[in-house]
This record gives sequence, C-alpha cells and structure tokens, in this order.
Amino acid sequence: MNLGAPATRTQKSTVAIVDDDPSVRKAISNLCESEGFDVVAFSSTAEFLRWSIPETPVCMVLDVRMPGENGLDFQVELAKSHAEIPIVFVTAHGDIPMSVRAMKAGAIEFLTKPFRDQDLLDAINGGLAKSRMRRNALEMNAELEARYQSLSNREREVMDLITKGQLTKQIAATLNLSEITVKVCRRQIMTKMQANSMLDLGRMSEKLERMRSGPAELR
Amino acid sequence: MMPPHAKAQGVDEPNAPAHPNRARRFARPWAYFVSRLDPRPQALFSPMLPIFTAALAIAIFIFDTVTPYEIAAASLQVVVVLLSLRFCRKQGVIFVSLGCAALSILSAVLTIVSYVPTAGSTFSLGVINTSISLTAIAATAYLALATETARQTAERAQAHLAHVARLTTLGEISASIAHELNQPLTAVITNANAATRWIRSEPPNPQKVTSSIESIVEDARRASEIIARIRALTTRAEPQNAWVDINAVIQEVLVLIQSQLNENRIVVRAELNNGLPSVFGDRIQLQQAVLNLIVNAIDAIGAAQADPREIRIRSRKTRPSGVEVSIEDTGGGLTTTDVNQIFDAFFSTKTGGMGIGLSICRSIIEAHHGRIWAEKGEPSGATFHFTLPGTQEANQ
Repeated sequence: MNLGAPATRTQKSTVAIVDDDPSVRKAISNLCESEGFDVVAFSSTAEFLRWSIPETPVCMVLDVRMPGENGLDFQVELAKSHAEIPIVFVTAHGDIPMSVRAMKAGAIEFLTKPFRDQDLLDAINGGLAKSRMRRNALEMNAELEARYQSLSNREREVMDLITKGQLTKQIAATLNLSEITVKVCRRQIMTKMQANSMLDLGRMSEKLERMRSGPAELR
Repeated sequence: MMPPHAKAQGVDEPNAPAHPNRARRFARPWAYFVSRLDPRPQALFSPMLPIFTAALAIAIFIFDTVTPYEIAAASLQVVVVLLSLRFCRKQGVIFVSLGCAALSILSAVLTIVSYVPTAGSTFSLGVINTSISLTAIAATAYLALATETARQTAERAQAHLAHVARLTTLGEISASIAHELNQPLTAVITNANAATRWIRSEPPNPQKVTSSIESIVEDARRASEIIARIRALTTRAEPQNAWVDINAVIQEVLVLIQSQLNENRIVVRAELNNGLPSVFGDRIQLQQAVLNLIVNAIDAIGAAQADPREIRIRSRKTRPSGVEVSIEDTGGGLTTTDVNQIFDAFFSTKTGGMGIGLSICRSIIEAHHGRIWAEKGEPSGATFHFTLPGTQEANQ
C-alpha cells in the first residue's frame, strides 16, 4: 500500500539530555551537536517533563543516578504516560542487574561513563530510528483514519461488507441497493481510501479494526 | 586546642637560631611577644586577662616591696605564673616565670635597701623567705610547663586520631569520590571526541573546536581540584588555623559526598545564610566534622529506609558573633539515651559502627571552643547542631 512517506525523510532529530552534572551535560550536548542533532539539555527529569516534546524524532540520554531520583524509575513512569521516547542510559558505575532492568524495560543502550563517543552516537541513532519509525507509523495510522472518516456512512457499510468477502450482488441484496449504486460506491471507496487493490483495502480495514480495538498506540 | 599560629609563619621553631630578620617581620615592637601568645582569637577569651595578670604581678611586687622583708609576699607570684598558662605557650610561661622571679629579687633588694636600718634583725629570715618564694615560683613554672607539654601531647594524639578517622571516613566514601572524579573525566573525553568531530566536519568549525577545548580545560581543572581536596583531607598536617568561612566548608564537603547522596537518593537542602561571621580554626578539621555529620545522616536515612530521604543543612548567625550549623536528617531518629551518649567514643547506634565519627566531631568542635549537641526530630529523624565562635565583622 502507498500509505505514508518512507522513513528516509530528512527530518531534524532532537536529542534530550538529562544529567545533573553540568560538565557532563555540556560535553554530551557538544558531542551531539557535532553530529548535527538538535540538542536540549535538562538537569533533572522534572525539568524534562516540563518540556513540550516536538513532533520530530526524539531520543533521550538519561543519567541513571541523579539527586533524589532514579533514572530507571523514571523510565517506567515515562512508559506509563505513553510518551514512548527511546532512552539511552549512561551511568558512572552500573551493575548488571541495573542494566538488565533497563534493557528489559526497553532501553536502547546502557553505557558506562566514560563511554566511547561512537557507542553513544550509535545508540542515539538507533533510538532516533526507533522514534522515527514509531512516528511514521503513528502518522500512517492518522492518515488511514482520516481517509476512513472521509467516507460516507453508506460507503463505510459497503466497505465493511466488501472486506468480509461479499460480492457486489450480495452487497446490493444485503443493503437493498441497486448493483450500479454498489459499484459506484465501490469505486468511491477505492479512490477515497487510495487503495490499489482489493487486497490493499482488506489490509487497511484490518489495520483500522486493530486501531479501534486498542488505545491510540503503535500496533 | 590549637598549636601556635606563629608556627605557620615560621617564627616558633624551637631550635631556630635568632635571626635578625625575625624582629623586622613584626611591624610593632610588641608583636613578637604577642606571636608567642596562644593564637586563639581575642574574642575567645577575655583580652583583659593578660593585662589583669600583669597588673596583679605589679601589685604583688608593690605589696612585697612595702611589706617587711620577712613577709614572703613574692610567693604570691605563683598565681601570676598559673594565670599565664591560660593565655601563653611554653615560651610565654618561661618568660612570665622569669619575670616574676626577677620582680621578687628586685623587690627583695628594694626592701632590703629601704628597711636595712630598721629591720636588720629579720634579715636572715627574709633571705630564707625570698628563697622560698623563688623556689615556689620555680616549682610552679616547672609544673606549668609540664602541664603545657602534656596538653600539647594530648593535642597531637588527638590530631592523629582525627587523621585516622578521616581516612576511615574517606574509605567509606571512596566510591563517591571515584564517581566525582569520573564525571569531569567523562566530560573531558567526550569534549575531546567532539572537538575531533568539529575539526573533521565539512567545513571545520574552529569556533566549536575552541569552545570544546576550553571545556576540556575547565573539566580537567575541576578534576584536579577534587584531587587536591582529597589530598588535603588525607595528609596529616599540623592543624593550621585561619579565618574560615563555614559555608565554604560545607559546600566543599557536599562536593565530595554528592554522589554518595545520589546513590542513596538523598536530597540535600542547604539553607546557608550569607554574611556569617568567619570562624577561627582548622579548615580540614571543620570539613571533617561536617563530613562525619553528613555521613552519619546518610547512614541514618539508609538504615531507616526513610521517606522522604532528605538532609537539611542550615547555617545561621548566633549572638553575639558566632555561627550555628544544624544538620537534620529524616532517618530513624534517636532515643533519649542516644542523645546523651551519642558523642561518647565507641558508642554507636549503627550496626557495624565504630563509634568514632561523632566523638571526633565533638573533640573538633570543642577544640574550636564550640558546642555540639543532638536533638530528636519530630516525628522521626535527628538534628545535630554545632556552634562556633566567630568574628565581630560579617564575612564577605
């Protein structure tokens, strides 16, 4: 299907750095800027939460240990709030249980300070790719939903029956319409949904079905 | 009790030969003698004491002179010698004793000169009494010197113990120190990598390269400052007394212990008042006292699994010119018995505690003529307070 743009769009990417240590914060910012990322830096997760997350792909570089809080707890909190931002952890001395916990909760990478610059940048790029994919998928979903919303009630009924595998004749009988009307409807649906084939339309319908059955999340 | 301030100026080395420059170092003629006095700031004891002592010596001298020769009023000079112990170091005591002896002899001579015609019959008795007075002064001087030596030995022993305790505490917080050093080092490496990238970028960005290198210098300096701080805490130096800003002391300790606090997820709320009087004392020892109190608070919070995990550090001015520092934790708190015994050596409420930290705190604070005490918190936790005397003028 020709849904959404491919992930190759040259979008500006943002790295959000959360570290309580000003010199480390500045250094990571510097490194990320040298790689051409937009950088925002915060001294605490509370400060980060006040930031309005942009529409561009975002990856977070988070220090595990900060005054009065724990980066791992914050990861869980952030996941609960559905703000699925990929996280790269950095820590001065992380142990295995810590890193296992972080990775299980979906962290991109768990790096020990001092880290190799390439390791950090690779991890950030990985995080951004994940964020971009997620964002594209969300956009695609939104686009699909918008197309579906543009259908009239009758067209939706017809589409429903088409995707259940009914033939024009059967649809006409079920909805008490003329075959011509159903054919016109069908063409309208294919145009509005920008579907190339019946198979394509079927896939879209399936996707819409899944989107309905759960919260507005990536599926 | 602190050894002479003069030591720092190189004036008080016992075996140093008399040097012509020595007198010139002091702008005022009496400054040399004053440098041999106990260096404790004048605010800590009555500045009237030396004057009073001198007045007493002269009064005794006059009394001794005007009374008949056989009355050994000169023996009262022992009081002067004992008083001198309150504000003099060894050499000062010797000086005062010799002065007293000289006054006794002078008074004897004067008495003899004025009384010989009338009091010839008691002359031999007078000589005996003068000898007794001189012996008494000599004996008192000897005892005073012995006391002073004992006091200095005790001081040295205490300094050793404080040093050992400092090393122990540093051992406990070594992970914190390692972390504290690792941060600037991470920044150095990262900035260096960034600088390389800025050079290699098309086109190269010299401005960014420069700022990266500036950051590297800054971070490296920070790392070396941390090392200098640790070094200062680990070297066993004679206490060096100077005017100290207690807020700076607290902040320096917080730098060393920051990551220990982070690891234990403890938030420090420091309410440090500006314009506090300076306190006179040894910076390292005061750091140690503050460090021990904070480590103690961290342990208390850790042991109690407390919530919230918070240490509140306050500093404020006390009347007329002292400072009070209080360190409040949200840990398990103290019982009434604890409050009374907590500063005793080898008393500990911690499992595995040696009971050294707080007793060292007390000896440091008391050596600085301050006071330290503990209070139960409400509903839990504990607050440790200490006061130190300071200058009249506000700092800054």
